[in-house]
Amino acid sequence: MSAPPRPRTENRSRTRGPADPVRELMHRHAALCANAVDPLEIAAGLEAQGLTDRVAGRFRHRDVFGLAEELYARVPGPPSTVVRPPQAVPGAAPAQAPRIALHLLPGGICAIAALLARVWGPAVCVVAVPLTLAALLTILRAGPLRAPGRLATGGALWTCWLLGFAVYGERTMTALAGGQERVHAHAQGLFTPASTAALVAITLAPGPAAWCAHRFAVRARAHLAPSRGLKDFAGAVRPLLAGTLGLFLLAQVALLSAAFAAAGAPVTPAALAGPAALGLLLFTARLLTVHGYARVAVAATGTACAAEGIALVAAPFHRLVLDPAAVTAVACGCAALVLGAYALGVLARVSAHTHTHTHSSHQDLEQ
Amino acid sequence: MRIALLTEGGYPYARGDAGGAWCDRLVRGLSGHDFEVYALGGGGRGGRPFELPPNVTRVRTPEEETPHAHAAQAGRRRSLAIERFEELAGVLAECGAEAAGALADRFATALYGLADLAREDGGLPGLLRSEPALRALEDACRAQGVRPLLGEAGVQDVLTAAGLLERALRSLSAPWYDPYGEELAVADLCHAVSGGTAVLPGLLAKRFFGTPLLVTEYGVRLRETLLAHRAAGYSAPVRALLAAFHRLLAGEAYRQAALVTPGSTHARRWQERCGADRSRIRTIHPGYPGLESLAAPPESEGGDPTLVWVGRIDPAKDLIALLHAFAAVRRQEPGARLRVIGAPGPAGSAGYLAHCRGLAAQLFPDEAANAVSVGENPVSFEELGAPGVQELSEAYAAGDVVVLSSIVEGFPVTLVEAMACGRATVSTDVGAVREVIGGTGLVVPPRNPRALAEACVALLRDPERRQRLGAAARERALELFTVEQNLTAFREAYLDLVAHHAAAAAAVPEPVPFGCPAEARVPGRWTAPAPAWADLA
Repeated sequence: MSAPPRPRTENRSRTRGPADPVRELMHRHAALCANAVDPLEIAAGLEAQGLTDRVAGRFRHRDVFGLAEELYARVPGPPSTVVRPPQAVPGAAPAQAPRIALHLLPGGICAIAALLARVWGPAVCVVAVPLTLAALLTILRAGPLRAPGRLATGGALWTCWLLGFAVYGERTMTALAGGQERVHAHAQGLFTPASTAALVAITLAPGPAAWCAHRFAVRARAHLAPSRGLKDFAGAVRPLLAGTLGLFLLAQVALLSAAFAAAGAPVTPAALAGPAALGLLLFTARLLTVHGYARVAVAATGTACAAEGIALVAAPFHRLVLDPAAVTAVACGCAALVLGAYALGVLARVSAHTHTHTHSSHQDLEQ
Repeated sequence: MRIALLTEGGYPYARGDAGGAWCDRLVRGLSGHDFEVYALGGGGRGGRPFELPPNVTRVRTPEEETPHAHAAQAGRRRSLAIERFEELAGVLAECGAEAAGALADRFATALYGLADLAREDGGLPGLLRSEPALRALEDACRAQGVRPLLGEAGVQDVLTAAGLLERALRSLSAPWYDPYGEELAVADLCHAVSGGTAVLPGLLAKRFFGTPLLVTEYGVRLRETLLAHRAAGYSAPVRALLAAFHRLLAGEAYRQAALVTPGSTHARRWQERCGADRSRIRTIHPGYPGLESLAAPPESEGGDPTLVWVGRIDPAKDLIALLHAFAAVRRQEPGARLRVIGAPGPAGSAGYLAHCRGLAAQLFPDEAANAVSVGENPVSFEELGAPGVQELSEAYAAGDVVVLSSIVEGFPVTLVEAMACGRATVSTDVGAVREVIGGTGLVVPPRNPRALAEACVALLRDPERRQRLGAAARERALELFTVEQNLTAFREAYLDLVAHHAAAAAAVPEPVPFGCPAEARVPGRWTAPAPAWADLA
């Protein structure tokens, strides 16, 4: 039902009434109509500008809704080529250099303790070990290595075991396997130069780890906006993740080489392999934890622990296939490889890069 | 009666909008009923500005009761939930291409299917943010036959839409739907005070327990949501998906509601447009506190004929047109004066006030009675609370005719107050003005200063007509727009609904004899010694 035509006198003020009054209206509300996705949206917009049913009657419509539908039908929809402005991703604040530098604190404490230990002997450990642990816990509470929600149980325990095994594993196994070197092993004291160097390098690793994790998170989020689909995003993020892991491994090897050289230990690939694999495993596990896959990370580190434990138990029975020096490298290396492959699958998902991780981790929903 | 009051974003947490104050008056006014408030959306943070009366038994928010996914949730059920979500996403994507009415059934099926699963398993929020759900939403946008604009949706759009949908559907996995629980299962009536996501618990209560649903809207939530999404700058695909969701949800709510009570004809028109059945709509006008106490002072005798405008100074009030109209009035009534009594408007309107003052100074030079006295401008700008206009009734009494010149208006409070003060009014035909005034004042088209001026002159020259209209206006305001009227209407609506919808009885698996006696429906606690309604009888 259209409203009855108005008498001529009404249009007196206009010089000549347009043949199509709706076109004029369309022009006037061009911005409103061009972006609309629903006729009701146009109706709401028109009402907000004071257009009433009475005015709609002038356009031969019963009400604003009818007029809005005509406008919606006549205006070509939103432009098909959407220009996506490079938008700043909220929450991905640029990490301040000081904050990342803070991640070197545990390593710094360790290094100073190692230097002091040469003067004052192993008693320094009584102070240094708790201090290092406290520093580690502090940096994991904030910054790029902070894990959302509740932590899966066991992570800290496994990490401590892996670190302990890296320091004492080889000696213990050698001692358990054959007695002739026992006296020699004891003579070396609490820390060998190599184990001290490895420990310092691994405790320094949170620095590069934080930087790598931050770089990964920021770049992955930057891929969110321009990606056309979930597959595009995964395709863009996988090389990024592989690069990040490689970058961290390089940094870890460099740190280890420097630490070994400084401690006067021989810098050989065999000596570096174990601590480097351990570092890579811990970094990959942390990266997964940060992005909400804590349970898998804990399971992988736990498996590495179990492998080392089995090697330890097998040592007295001389059933060892491996050289004691290679146990850490093999156990952690395999776990890191598996975890890395898993991360390439799950960290390429969009849901791993949203800001609000639910309290329950992702595995609850998609194992 | 136990009434589940479903609110959204307002009561009892935010005092900002008028809805919160209205809810507070409703709950306090109907002290014979027990209210349990389910606050959705934006609740739970900050303090509670409303002190809750004793008949509010509990306040619950879905945020406070974070649902955890059951760790052992079976993979099959999870994929079932994803399937339902796929169906929902498909409906949303198709909504623009097809008429919304044809999709209503499919939408309801998908929604209730999701609700069934969420009720048993919980953990819907995590599920909706997971990768399979994102993939489902993306696939729906890429499907054949959907609108081309959805094909443009990128990863960011899918993420945003999924996040908004998750927030809207959060109440589905709230632990309120236990048939043996103390929550919605025992409510006699669900009263949703918005047609938005707040109706979801009400819809589910109706589905699970047969509880009747009452939907009250003073501002149409769907309309506000559409405008808000536009203002928030969401991209077109996000807005399209969300507009479809809210539109279909509102439609489902209006269809399922036993009674829909819009606050004005404007809201009613939107509701009818979205599928509300005419026979189940009853307009209940909002009530304004303190109307009865507004005095109706007689006109001051012998003064200059004076027009008065009261309100917040804001460009939507179109004071410019008022000043031009007043110039036309002055040509016919040279002694006329205009008093603009304003409260400071929203931020940024100070410039508008300055602009109006400047225009007034240009249009009207200062006037003096003779050569030796100090002149003054016939247009004065005053603030409410200044000497002479301390109170509202004084402000309205300051003039012979109250003018409203807005170009955009919702439900005009100042008009209701002017009516209660017994003043004749001239207002522009915007928003609910026509409905409020109902023939007790003059109405002119908006943006028409000449018509406004003619109406004002007609009233200024006819004191008898002014008086007649003023008296009629006061009668009308005190009859229709008081809090008492509003409360009575809702009291009756509650009793009516509960009487016509024997709630819950069928939904409880094993009916207990006399488990739900007829007295349970009596307004008020029937074990209480002296209920308030007994005194009235």
